[in-house]
Formats: sequence, structure tokens, C-alpha cells
Amino acid sequence: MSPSHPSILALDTYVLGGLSAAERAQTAQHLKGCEACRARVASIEADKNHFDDAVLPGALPRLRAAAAPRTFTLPRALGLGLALAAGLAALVVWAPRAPAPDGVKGGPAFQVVARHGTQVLPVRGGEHLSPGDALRFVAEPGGRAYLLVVSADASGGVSVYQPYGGAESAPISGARVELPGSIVLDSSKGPERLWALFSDAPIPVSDLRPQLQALAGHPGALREHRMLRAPHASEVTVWFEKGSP
Amino acid sequence: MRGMTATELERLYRTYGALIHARCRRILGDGPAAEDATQETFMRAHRHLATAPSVDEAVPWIYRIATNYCLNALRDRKQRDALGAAIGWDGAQVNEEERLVDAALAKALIDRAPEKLRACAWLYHVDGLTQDEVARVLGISRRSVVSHLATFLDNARKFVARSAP
Repeated sequence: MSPSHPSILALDTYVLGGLSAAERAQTAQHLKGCEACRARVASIEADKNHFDDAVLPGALPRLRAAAAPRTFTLPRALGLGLALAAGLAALVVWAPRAPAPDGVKGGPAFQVVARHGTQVLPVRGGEHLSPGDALRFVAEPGGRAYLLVVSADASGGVSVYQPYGGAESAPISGARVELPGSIVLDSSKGPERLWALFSDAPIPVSDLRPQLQALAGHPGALREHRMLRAPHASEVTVWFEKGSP
Repeated sequence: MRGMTATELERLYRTYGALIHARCRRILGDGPAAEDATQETFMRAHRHLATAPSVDEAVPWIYRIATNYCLNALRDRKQRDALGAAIGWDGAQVNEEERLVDAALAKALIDRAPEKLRACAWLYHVDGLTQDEVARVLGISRRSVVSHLATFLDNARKFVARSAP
């Protein structure tokens, strides 16, 4: 870009009403004579309209849910009905990387590994999975010493996947670890959300169970909810929709 | 999230959400990934945005958080889809100095760059920010920006050389 044009950073700031008085005047003067920059400003404003019309209506409920105190009633405790299977072909599904302590750079990462019949399919957040589909997990601890993987689903089930059925986080070491075993989905329907909690000390499942039980059995909350309250843990979460063909 | 009312949170989201979304779309493209990234970025940035003294300070912060988050997400997506092994350009025809001004090539090279260089290279080569602006967004010195960009370019040269038949 020519240094004579304001950068996109400057234009974004300008549109939001920032910049010093002198910079605003300079930018406004530039815009009068620069069709390309006027087009960029128009594009920024179009982005704003698109966001207000198409994104904001869907995003606000999720935001409100995240901000609201969690007041879900305790659901019935149901088993997940998930079974271990072996020999699963690997499909790597990366969940978002957990924030590092500074909240900026990448931290630990967690992969969901899945198989659909003989087909290996990418599964992204909110992906529809079928009964019989199998999942495995791959973790990058990013220097954290322990990992706990827990889940809650729409049928009311709360489960501990790593260590399977365990009471607290298990030690983990290495740059990239394929967790043993796999999980085969049963015929229950609705969303299931997993949380991978990387930490420097073991986290008791009992510390998280009330939060998980409050979410289990509430499909809307499971689709919207992102984070557990797990102090000092780096957290990655991913959800999928069960029971669809 | 504690300490901020839902109303305050919504006000911040209405103010800055579009900018965050635009940043995320620029890196991740349209669709659910950009929308998820928008929310995740906002959740990470909202406390700072609530106390930011001005738009001038908030916008670089948003650039920083969103760029880092989305580049990580992009890298993870690439790893997941196993696309990283094949970059769609012919190394034999590349004059790296010229081609680096090509944002598409820069994106491909950024995918392969070490983490500490990626945001710097993206902001400079793809977004077209000045070195001073990159320094302000990332909270590092201009000298560090110059160094990171030189390292990125050096790595790109080596990669281009290795890719040539």
C-alpha cells in the first residue's frame, strides 16, 4: 500500500469515531480526493450493516447466556451410553486453541478424531454426527502437565472421557498425545459438548460436576455455553449434534 | 464476565462486534468459523475494551487479539484438513521479493511461519499496515517488527528455494 493512503487500521479507527482531531481532518481530506479509500470506508460500513443485520441477532442470545448467572435446574443423571471401541481411523478435528496466560498467543490444543462408517469426515463445531460414529482425541498440552476431558449432553448425561470414568485429571506429557481408546456414539439425540481442561495440577471432577449437571439436559445451553469455571486451567471446548443421519 | 452487566456487554459488542467480525472474516472467510471467532475474540477482549480510554486504543487491541486468534484457528484448520502440505503456487516462477507483495502468497507463507512471526507478517503483508502500526498493534518495538519481517522474508526465501524443482 502506498504510504500516502491511510491504512485499514486507520480507516477502521476513523469509522468508529477515533483518531485525533488533526488525524480525522487529514483522513477526511484524503477521502475527498481518493476514490479507493472511499470505497474501503464504504466496505467497512457495509461490514457493519452486515454484522448488525445478519450476525448480531444470533450472537446476542449467546452473549446474554454467557453473561447470565447459571441457574439451570439439576437434571436427572443419565449415562451417556457410549462405548469404547478400538482401531479407529484418524480424522483430525481441531477445536479452538485455548488461550495462553496472556490471552493472546496460542496455548494447548485439543483435537476431536472421528470416523463415520468407512468414511473419515471433518467435524467442526456443531457438526452433525450419527449413532455408531466413533471419536478419538488428540491433545497438545502446550507444557501443561494434566488433562481432563469431560462432557455433558442433551440426554442429561455427564461423562469423563480422559481419564475414562476417572475422578480427576490425568498426567499428560509430550508435544502431541493421542489419547487411548475411542468412543462410539449411541442413539441419543441432541447436542453434546466436550471440554478439555489442561492444568498444572489435577482438577477433581467433583469440582466441575455441578456445572456439568446444570448444563446437561439443556440443549440450548449446551449449544451456547462455552467455558466452565475451572481456575488456572487452559480450556478448549467443542460441541457436536448427535442423532442426525 | 463477572463485574459487567449484560447491558454493558451488549453495548460493547454492538460497538466493536462489527470490527471484530470483519477482522475474523478477513482471515477465516465468511461463515460459522468467523462468527465463532468473533465471539471468542470478544470474550477475550471485552474487559480491556470496557476500560479502554479511547477508540484509538481499543482498535489496535482488537486487531491484536483477533489476528492472533484467527491465525491460530486458520493454522489448526489447515492442519485438520491436511492442506498445509500443498501450497498452490509454482516456486520455480517466484521472485520472492515481488511475490511477497501478493497477499495470496503472503497468506500461504504465513501459514508456514513460526507463531511469533505470523501476526506480524499478516498485519504488514496482508493488511498493509505500516511497521509503526504493526508495532503498536502487537505491543512490540518497531525494531522487533523489522527483525520479525526480515526473518519471515528469509524463511520465505528458503521455502521458495526448497520448493523449486
